[in-house]
Amino acid sequence: MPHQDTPIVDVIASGVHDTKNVLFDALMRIGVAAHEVSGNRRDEALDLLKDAGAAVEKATNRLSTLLSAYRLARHENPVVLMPVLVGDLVEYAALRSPPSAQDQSRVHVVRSEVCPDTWLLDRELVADCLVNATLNALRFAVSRIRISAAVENGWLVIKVEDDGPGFSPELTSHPARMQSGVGLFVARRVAALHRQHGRHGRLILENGGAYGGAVFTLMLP
Amino acid sequence: MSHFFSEFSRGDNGNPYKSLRFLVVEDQAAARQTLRMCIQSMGGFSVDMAQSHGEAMSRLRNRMPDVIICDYILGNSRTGQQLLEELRREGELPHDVVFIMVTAERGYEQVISAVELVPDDYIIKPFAPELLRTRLEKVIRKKQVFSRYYLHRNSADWDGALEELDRLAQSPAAAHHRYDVMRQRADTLMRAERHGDAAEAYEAILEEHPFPWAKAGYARVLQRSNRLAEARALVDSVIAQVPRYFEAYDLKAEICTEMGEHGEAVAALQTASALTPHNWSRKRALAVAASRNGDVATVARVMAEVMAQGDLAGEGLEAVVEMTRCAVEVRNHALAAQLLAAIKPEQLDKAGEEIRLSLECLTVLAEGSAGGPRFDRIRARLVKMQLFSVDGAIDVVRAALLHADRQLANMTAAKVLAGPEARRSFKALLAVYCQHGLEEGFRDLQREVASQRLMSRTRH
Ligand SMILES: Nc1ncnc2c1ncn2[C@@H]1O[C@H](COP(=O)(O)OP(=O)(O)OP(=O)(O)O)[C@@H](O)[C@H]1O
Ligand SMILES: [Mg+2]
Repeated sequence: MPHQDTPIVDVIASGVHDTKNVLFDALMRIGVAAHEVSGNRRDEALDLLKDAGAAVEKATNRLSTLLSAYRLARHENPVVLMPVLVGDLVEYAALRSPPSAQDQSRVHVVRSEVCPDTWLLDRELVADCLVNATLNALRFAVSRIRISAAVENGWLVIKVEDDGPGFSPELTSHPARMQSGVGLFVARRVAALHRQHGRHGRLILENGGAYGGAVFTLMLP
Repeated sequence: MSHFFSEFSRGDNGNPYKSLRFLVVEDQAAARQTLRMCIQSMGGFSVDMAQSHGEAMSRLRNRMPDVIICDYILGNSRTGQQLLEELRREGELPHDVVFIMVTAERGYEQVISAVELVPDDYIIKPFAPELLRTRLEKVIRKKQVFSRYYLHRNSADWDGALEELDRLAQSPAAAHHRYDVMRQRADTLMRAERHGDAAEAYEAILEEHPFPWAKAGYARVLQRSNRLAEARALVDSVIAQVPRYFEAYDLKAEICTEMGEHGEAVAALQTASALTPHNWSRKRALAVAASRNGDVATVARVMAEVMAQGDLAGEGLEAVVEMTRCAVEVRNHALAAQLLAAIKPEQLDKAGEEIRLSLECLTVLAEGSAGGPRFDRIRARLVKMQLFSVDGAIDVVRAALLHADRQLANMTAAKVLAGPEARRSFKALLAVYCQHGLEEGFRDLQREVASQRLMSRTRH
């Protein structure tokens, strides 16, 4: 593993810290919702509870990514390849990263045609990576996201593209030394641990693509 | 339960989940409620609950649900995997019943990659009801695709099953179940005793990826084709790859036993048993292996553990016979007598003649020289008995030689030596004859059986 600018334990700690904030935010919304209910403002309360639910969902995803990061940092190889229908995988990741009400009014998510292939991959870990990439894209996109999966030249290529400002130059030019968050750290390692017939997977971060913003690409052998 | 499939296929006539009977198995009360709510919110209506392995068993036996949602950790050191294995092994889980494992373990893929019997699917907690719904739907569709295959397989119609698998291999509807088709095909070929074809099928899978289950399956085929050294090397590599693949240790023990390396068999079972302290059948296998290895101390220790667990009776008469045999083997006649005394009359009533005779012989052996009258009483039945398992035959030979009845001993031994299990039984029989200073007599018998076999072959 190449040298990391920030030790992974610090990255994990900051992830835990962020998650704590997300949960705190959810707690606040639940508190306010309770207040709204007692004041008979049911619609407002419902909106708050929905957001709180989305926040908890996000925290749950983040925590599972943090746990994966922890196992990777201990140099365990958690990747277990099993046959997975690619279409199911994309659907699974989508179920776990529903856009919030606000996101929905702003961003339009397009999914490519369902990929009919079966691939050997770690369903849970790859889904984690896709969930994180989708949530990142939702954060940065202006109005459009495209999620696609297809088999090209013997590789499974999964892309999450948006029309936001794109990755910073440090991320695209020095990917191995990047100041990444936990999500991209895990994605890079999980991709590399997918090994088949002497080839291993990789993560590519670029700008441009279909919508001119960030392009997150997982390539799995 | 075919109503459930047809109902399901009819699709959008309202809610297909309403007619399904669910069983939730989960030891934590709060999680149990959450699962129930989850099922109800996706349209499930009839939700039964069990909070332990034992309760699940009795509910299932009472009435088989359509869908079992089972937590991986069940308390009392039991796991959902054990429940699944017990049900499948005893043939108590019909193939159209859905079994979905629910787990909070992030490393669950590693568990599932190291077992022979896998649930239909698994879901990592926490999850949304929608996810359970989509997974359930996919499992049901898959069961529909494989339903004809299971029909053939369950009636041991291997040719029909293989034909159906060939059809599925060509069918676009099953294209994404390619690996399942390959796995089932290799397994069915092995059951059909087409070892050469099974070996090829496993090789083809392993060319795609070194799945631990495929390696283990291949090792089993090699074992059955009597390629023991290769089988053993392969099973060792499975264990190196996935140290928690417990069934691989069981297989290794079987292979080592056949190779006559009883010490290795004991070592393998000891390792696996230490990691699975509540697996009683593995403990019993360990006791048997240790007794074959003449390791009296280990037999005594393991048997004490097995007995401390209490009710051997609940494990079935075979288990009692197995343990009594071990006790006799290490000459602990008091323990043997104790085990025999604990057998309930109603258990005996249900048992077949072979097992009853084994018990009689073991009693004769436990009684030592005082067992003469009993032996005389059962002798006629022993002579008449046609089908002897290797172990059962050895019980008879032992009892006969103890009471100097060489005629019965030879007759029984000859039956086994002429049968398909000759190789497996040879060493054990030899050991018994040797104990009575009759090695020469055994060699004569062996020659006689061999020449008779030759004669019958030339006659045909
Ligand atoms: N779609 C994107 N567009 C622009 N920048 C992005 C995009 N995705 C990620 N990044 C940048 O990469 C950084 C690291 O992302 P990563 O997913 O690893 O962590 P994070 O999103 O900051 O934290 P976490 O994933 O733990 O919530 C982000 O903070 C952001 O600066
Ligand atoms: Mg992120």
